[in-house]
Amino acid sequence: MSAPERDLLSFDHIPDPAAAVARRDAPVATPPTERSLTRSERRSRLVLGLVIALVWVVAFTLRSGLRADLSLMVVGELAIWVATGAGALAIALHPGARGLSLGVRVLAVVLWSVPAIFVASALAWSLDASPFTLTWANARACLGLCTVLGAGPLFLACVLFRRAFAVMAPWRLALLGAVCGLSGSIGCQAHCPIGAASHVLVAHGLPIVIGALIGAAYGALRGRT
Amino acid sequence: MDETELNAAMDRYACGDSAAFALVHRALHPRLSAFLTRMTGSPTLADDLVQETFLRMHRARATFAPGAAVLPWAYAIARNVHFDHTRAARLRRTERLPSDPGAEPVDDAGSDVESAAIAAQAARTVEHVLARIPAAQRDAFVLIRYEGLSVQDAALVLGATPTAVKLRAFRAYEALRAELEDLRGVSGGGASERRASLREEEARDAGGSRAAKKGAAGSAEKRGAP
Repeated sequence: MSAPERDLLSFDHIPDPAAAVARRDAPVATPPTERSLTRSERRSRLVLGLVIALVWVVAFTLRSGLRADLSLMVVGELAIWVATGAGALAIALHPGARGLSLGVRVLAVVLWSVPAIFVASALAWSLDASPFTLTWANARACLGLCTVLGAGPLFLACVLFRRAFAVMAPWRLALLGAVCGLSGSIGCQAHCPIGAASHVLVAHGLPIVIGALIGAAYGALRGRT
Repeated sequence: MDETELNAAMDRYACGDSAAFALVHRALHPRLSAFLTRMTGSPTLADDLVQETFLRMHRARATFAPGAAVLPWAYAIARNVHFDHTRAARLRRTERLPSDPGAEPVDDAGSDVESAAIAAQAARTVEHVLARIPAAQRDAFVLIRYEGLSVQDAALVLGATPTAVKLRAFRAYEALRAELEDLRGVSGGGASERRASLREEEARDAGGSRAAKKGAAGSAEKRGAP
């Protein structure tokens, strides 16, 4: 047993300055009159929010037009990203063993995994891509589309998860933000035929990072219950 | 009320059963009140923060997961309330009203006057040390020592790893133990003189510039620290 663990066992001799307060009886209380959601109402809202987010991404992608070379390989790449997003979403919302959250290490690993999987698959799928020079002119349109696609779900997430997490709100909302950014990347990848790594990473991938940063900031300011 | 019943009551409240609020309130109020008193050092302020905690629990009842444990959840919300309060007030330590006596001392019923006075002083010392140490250390120590949470639950509440929480609690414990040992030495008599002579010796050995650091080093030497 390490020194800290050994000494943790002897905490009991430290007197409690609030021992008398802890023994007080609770005053009689009535439930607050303010209206608050019940669990089933919240579940319905979450499902509705998820449906709206999906409709948003699919509708904007179809409106922009699907790429002409939508091969099985591209669909496979998109499927990997969809699976990554779904997994990250499930982990961000998972209540964990005690109903609070999964551990901070798990959240951190998953948060890093989302852009890592995106980068790895983008690099793998761009090996046989034709040479391409990245410029602001050719990146701007895709960056704009990704941002619009990801902004809708991110806005919904900010509304639905305002003051919703008792613990680790910045981490969990950063993860949700990254998933929203990834949804934009998926939609854009289904639209844009340019397969060069530089273009995919910058023009399609940047919204993942931006989404995670916005989510983390929102979580720190408005995410905690 | 045991923890299973309390969790079931909160579960019913999350599903919309308003009558379950009274049960949850009765079981949690003394614990949250004591927790926030330890955090703020002021029962008056703690009462206000407890009200805010219950209001937030009411607003967020739908987020209480089925089968979850209500205690860590409630402590996490209470900690958020305290955090928001200190951030808003931009105060490191809570200011007390002149009429606020501070945390109440340990129960002294049945003991003699001298031991009651010593217990009260020890409680006050603990309160002062808790107010002085970094918030992360105080939170970890209070949750483990006074609220009885496991290291894993405390880590979840604090959003840190169990190892980090253990270390923070241990550092808080060391600070408290040092102060309490000093207090015992003082009440045993002659400790302040010993401390003064140690400081004088140290000042003579180290010279004027190092004498400024005498407090920490002197007390560490006295405690037998390496």
